[in-house]
Amino acid sequence: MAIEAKAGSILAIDVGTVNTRAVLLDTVGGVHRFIARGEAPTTSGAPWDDIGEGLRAAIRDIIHTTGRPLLDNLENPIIPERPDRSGVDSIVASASTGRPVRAMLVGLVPGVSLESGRRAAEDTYVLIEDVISLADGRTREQQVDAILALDPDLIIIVGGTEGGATQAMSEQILTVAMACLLMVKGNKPRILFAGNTAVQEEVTAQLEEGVGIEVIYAQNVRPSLEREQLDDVRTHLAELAQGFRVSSSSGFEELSRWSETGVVPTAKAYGRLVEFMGKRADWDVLGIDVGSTSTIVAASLGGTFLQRVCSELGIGHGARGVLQDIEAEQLTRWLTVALEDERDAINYAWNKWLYPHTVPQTPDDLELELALARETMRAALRQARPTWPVSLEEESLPRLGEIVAGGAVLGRAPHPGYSALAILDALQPVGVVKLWLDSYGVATALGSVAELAARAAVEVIESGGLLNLGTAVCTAGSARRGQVVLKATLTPEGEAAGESIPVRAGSLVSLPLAPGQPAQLTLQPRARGTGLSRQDRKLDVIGGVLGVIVDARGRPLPIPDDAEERRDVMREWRSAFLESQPS
Amino acid sequence: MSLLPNHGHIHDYTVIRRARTLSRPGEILKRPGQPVKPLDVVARAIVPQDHHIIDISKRLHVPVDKVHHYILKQPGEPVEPDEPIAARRQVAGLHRLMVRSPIQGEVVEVGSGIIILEGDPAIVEVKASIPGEVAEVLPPWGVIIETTGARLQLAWGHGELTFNQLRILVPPQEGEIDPNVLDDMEHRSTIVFIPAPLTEELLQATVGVNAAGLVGSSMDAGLVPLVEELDLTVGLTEGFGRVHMSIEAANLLRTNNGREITLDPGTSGHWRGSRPEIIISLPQDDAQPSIPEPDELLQVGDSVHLLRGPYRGAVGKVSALPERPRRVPSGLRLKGAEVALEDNVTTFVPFANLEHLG
Repeated sequence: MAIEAKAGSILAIDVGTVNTRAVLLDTVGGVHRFIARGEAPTTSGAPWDDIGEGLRAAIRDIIHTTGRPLLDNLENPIIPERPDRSGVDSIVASASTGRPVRAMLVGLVPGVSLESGRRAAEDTYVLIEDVISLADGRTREQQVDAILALDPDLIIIVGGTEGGATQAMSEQILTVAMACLLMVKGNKPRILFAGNTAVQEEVTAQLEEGVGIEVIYAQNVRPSLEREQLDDVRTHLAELAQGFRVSSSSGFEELSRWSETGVVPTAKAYGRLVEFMGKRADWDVLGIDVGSTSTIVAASLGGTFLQRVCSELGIGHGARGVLQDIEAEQLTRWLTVALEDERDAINYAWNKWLYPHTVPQTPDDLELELALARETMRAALRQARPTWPVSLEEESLPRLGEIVAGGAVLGRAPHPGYSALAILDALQPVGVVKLWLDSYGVATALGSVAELAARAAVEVIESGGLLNLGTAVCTAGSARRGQVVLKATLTPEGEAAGESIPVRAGSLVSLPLAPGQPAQLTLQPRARGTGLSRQDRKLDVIGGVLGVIVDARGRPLPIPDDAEERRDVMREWRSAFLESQPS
Repeated sequence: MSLLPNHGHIHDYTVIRRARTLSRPGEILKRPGQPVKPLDVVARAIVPQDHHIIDISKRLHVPVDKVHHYILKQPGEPVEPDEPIAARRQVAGLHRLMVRSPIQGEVVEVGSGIIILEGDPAIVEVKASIPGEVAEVLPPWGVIIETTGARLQLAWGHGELTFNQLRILVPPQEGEIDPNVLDDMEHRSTIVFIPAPLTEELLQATVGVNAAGLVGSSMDAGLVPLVEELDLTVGLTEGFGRVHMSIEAANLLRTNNGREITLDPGTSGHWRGSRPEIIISLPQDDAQPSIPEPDELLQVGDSVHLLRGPYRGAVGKVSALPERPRRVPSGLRLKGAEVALEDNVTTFVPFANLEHLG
């Protein structure tokens, strides 16, 4: 089907664990643009137990904004679009909520195929509740007991490189077969095999013929020690996860029928956008999406796409995961105000875990929420970084061309300066990087759309679907605070060269440049170790809502130990962005 | 009218239906219409465990396809410790190789040269936990129990579900409750209710008098690891920090002082985790119990519980539903409701920070 050719108006729906978002994209003057978004609480839990309620509420939100009828009298979507512009031509859908698939992962040794299997599972919101390996210290009997006690929905078997030894895999398959043999008929798990293809026949004999379980075969996740292939297993896992959702929650089946592409996992759709952005540019791209339950870190590095879904690291349901590795001081260090009791920073995060829907009502709440977002991003990066094929110093990032950040906490901040500051504080990039903010919550939708109509996705990004915060020039090193580290001259296209502005170490500067306006930025380093290359000295830039950003604070960020001094510095950094009204 | 994400419940007298289900298929022990007491087991499942895989082929030195000639026990047969399960006569019958059961249990599988034995299975049971009547059976998972009474949804809970007498401790007008007022005779095996924030001293003192549970308005999140170690069921009506209890929640518990209550700490998990709650079964009288309506749309006059902001913990009534979003002090522009609180105070609260009481 020539999907690309038929792409007209598109309604993209994402059912998250907390909110359901609907995004309407349509052609204006022959070019796809973001038209409107709607949002409503996800209604998969009590008292609704049907995602359809939230789904329709999100669509009604768009109808309310645009006046465009999208639902018929029975509250079903109008497809295709009618001459009176009611309805849409197609719907695409993604979801991160729904009954999670409880799985057991079986393989050989930790760190290789088991790690690949775990990653594939996380990307598709499959919960790995136990891992059986040759190194787990349990006897076969104990492993069989563990499988029976867990009573998983799914057993994922991985392990063995292509052409590698098969004996150890045979032993693991036998363990699974024994456990399945002892399970009650009619309550046996599904099996997904993604290991050495040389043992597939044995899997068939032991599990399909021996125990009577249907096995799904996917490509080996680790055909060689150096190579990982997750696409096929992810596809199978996504289909299995969708099957569980459909059977356990009302509304998913209906959404699957509406959508051209079924209901894909949110992480898959998000990753597709980052991969797509990486392919259309000749630089590396990092995407980070801070969700309620999990945080997605997707990167296109040197043409390789890598993704990590950090489950249980989020700003709501996942807040307890963030708190596991941090103390109150790691949250309060980002605040411009002194809390009456430092412990309230931790209490705040726990309350956010209890009530993930809630939003900051006071200025202090907003600061605490953004502090939690910073620590969530940092924790997610710590998980993702070891899987990247680049050697990095601790807490550092590779040179990136673009960063796209999102999640309600960043996207809905009252001023884009709050979001930009949180992104720079948490990620601490070095070099020249373009910052995008998913302020409308369309990234997942664009990933879904990229599959359906790549051109439409590009057009929406370029027409403001993602908010261009600005190009950021970020210096490394630890120059003495106040020392001039570089001079920056901004020359808007068609205008005379601007004033040369000295930028001092420890400062954050927003150079005014209207959004979309091209300019030339000339940088003259005045200190050693700024981390800027020769090519960075003369740059073509496009203005963002914060103009052009120069982050000369150095890396790692110099955060004073003294509380008063630290709050002064935080206020200074914040005012650099907040006092410049977004253009 | 608006769809609200958060729903809470404070009911003086209502119809309560609770599913009590197993996590795996099992046996249902009650019939529809049957009355149940809180400690009655309503469903039971068997979890097979303690498996022993014995390689008969190896132990008797015979090929896998010949093993069946030497097997003495078949699937389903019980075995005692040291009881022979396979044997082979050697050298013209003068010597006998014997394989004995290492456990008391049952033969569950024979084949491929091995015997699998199973020890005593673990039993998983689900109790009724509230007095009432079985309204429905959900084979093979469990039952739905129906009762009438009071219900208070909590913000957080930890520990085991418990059914015991409610004993209130009222804080003095000024200052905090002295933990020493907890008394081993008076509070042993009770659920102690304190309409104030909990402290470490109160938690320790409650454990010290062997109480079954403790309910307060809030506590510092730093006390969670301590609570996780204590043999005590803890419930919070508001959450973490120092937040006072809403008058409505405090009054509901006060009026039921001395009654037997169920303190259910709930289960966490973003997918169908259950909220902690207190259920107080009350005898049916002339009063008509309210029927909970799954009415998810907020309307003027509805009761709401404030989850954030300066009036956190308060309960009020929706006085207006402005059409347009408003800017709140954090700078966010949000849709919300005007809520009338006590003392003629009216405040605008974003929908996301309201809990719809029904």
